[in-house]
Amino acid sequence: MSDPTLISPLADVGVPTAAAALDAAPSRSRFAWFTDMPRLVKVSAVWLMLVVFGAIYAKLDESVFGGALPLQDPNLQTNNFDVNTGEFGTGEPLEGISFNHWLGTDAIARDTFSRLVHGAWVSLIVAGVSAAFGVIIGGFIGSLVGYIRGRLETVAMAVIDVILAFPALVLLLALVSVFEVRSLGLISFVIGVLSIPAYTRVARANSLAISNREFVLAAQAIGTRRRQILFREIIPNVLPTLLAYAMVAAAFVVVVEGSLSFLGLSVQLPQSTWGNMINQARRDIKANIAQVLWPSLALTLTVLALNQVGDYFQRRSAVRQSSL
Amino acid sequence: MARVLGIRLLRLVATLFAVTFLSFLMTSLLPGDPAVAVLGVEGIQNEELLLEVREELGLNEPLPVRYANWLGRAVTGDLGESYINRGVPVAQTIQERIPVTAQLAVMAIVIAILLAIPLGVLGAYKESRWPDTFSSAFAQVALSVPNFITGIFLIWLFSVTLRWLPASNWTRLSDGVWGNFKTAIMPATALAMTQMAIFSRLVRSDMIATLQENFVLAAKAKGLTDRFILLRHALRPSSLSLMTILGINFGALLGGTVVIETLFAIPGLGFRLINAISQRDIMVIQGITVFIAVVYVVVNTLVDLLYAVVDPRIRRS
Repeated sequence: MSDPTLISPLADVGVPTAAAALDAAPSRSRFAWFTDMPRLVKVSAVWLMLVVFGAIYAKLDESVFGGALPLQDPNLQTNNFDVNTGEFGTGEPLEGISFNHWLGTDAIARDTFSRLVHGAWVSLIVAGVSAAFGVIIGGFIGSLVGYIRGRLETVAMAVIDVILAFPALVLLLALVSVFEVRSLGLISFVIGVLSIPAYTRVARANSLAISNREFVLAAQAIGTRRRQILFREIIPNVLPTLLAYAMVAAAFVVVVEGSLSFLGLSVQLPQSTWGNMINQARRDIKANIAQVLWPSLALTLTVLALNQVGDYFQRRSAVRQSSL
Repeated sequence: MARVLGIRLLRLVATLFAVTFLSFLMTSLLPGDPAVAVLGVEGIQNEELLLEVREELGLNEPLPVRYANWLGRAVTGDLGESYINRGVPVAQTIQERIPVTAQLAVMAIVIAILLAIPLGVLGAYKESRWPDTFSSAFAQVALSVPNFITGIFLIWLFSVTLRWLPASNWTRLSDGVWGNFKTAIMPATALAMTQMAIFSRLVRSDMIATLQENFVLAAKAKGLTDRFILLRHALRPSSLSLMTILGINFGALLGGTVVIETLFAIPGLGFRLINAISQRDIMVIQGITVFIAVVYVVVNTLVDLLYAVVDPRIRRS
């Protein structure tokens, strides 16, 4: 009984039931989407879940529980003089791995593990917001113009071509430089808006293909209204591809935010991000490479995982599209 | 061919207008008064002087007129003067710094192609066997490491630990080829790795398709060696996608130079842009952004055209 999908109340006594027959069908378990993954993709998915969990945990700790949860204060300089106890903290700058500081401390004796987990929140929000903007706005515009065509499509695609004619990072830098105060909301918003064109292109290409399918023609033939066709036929079929694309796009966005942070032009200090942790730690590269290594590893693994999972879902949605 | 050329050129001009207008609009929306930036502290007190400078900078005109004026000057190579370093024309700054950035970009592309072709060909030749698995995995990882991380670890290895290469102090090409090479090789490699990964995946998949073609079978039947077939017969038809992606990825490369130039303190366009952003030097930000966007658009069009020249199927359609 190692195969969990065969567990059914009557399967043991060998009575063939409809339920057992259903259980044996290809999409047997509720977790089939996960158990069917190749091992590398599975590991990637687990890592992504860990990052998401860590980010939410850190945020909850900070804003709801006021630091009561077991995670150190990311901005506490552990060697500082404590007014309450009248003693200096026991921490030291650039410590190695220890029980107190799982990944050591940075140049001003802050706990690296805690900063890393808090940094995940920034990556999560930026990636999430850009995916939401892309899927909802880009997905809608792309599906719409791909279906109704005409002059609207020409105009929309011309605008998108122009925005995509800029090198992404340079355009982002120019836009970000407009603002003196850079909050997480602002950074996510700007990156989110800049994500829309690429999603629109993907959605339009898919919408074009789907618009010529039999079921769309059938719906048109029985006189379904165009609005209903768009929302019932086109968009539901564009969505899986778009969500798969969102994973790969998120990998790109995480790198872009990392680069921006690295340049000191993303969310402001003391908020830790993986990019600004790398930037701060690189000054002490002679003394301690580990402090550069941890945020680099977190960033790279997350990008790698997003690429793996995204590629996997893209392959699957491509297969499903061809059999559509 | 002439018609294709005409349409492409028309599109190029339209895109250039849009791109320049967008850059102009963006920097015109910057909060703060450029006149105050020009005059500094004394300007805030002297209302009359402020008005005078505003008039002089043409800030009182409506936006479309300002754009037309600015564009008229821009096409003659006048991109205005830096607000911070008074009297230094933006065009001069760009002119001084462009060789550095161009050198980095070209070196990065050359390194990326030199690494990607063997890796991709090997992957296709040994498809689904361990050399393929190895080269694909390597490409996957290289694709996922952001270039500034590659850069830092290169510095750590070659500058800090081995002490072979300098981590900063850019040497200009005119100050010695070898010295220049020593300062350029690390940043160029850091820039190249992501591109290398993308290129090698493309070469691999194109090569796999080419190896199924009849002319490859014919070459095998003639008894030519695998090596000869791979490099002399199959490589050229397998490099078409590579060329298109070269144009598309050029933008990502230009974006990458901003980060890498900052990391290695290289006096190129990107590093200047970052400085201008931190000093809020609007004219320099505007000038460099427009310049990079225009170069990118022109390069993309050129690659498109080159593609049409190489591939007869596109030339005809």
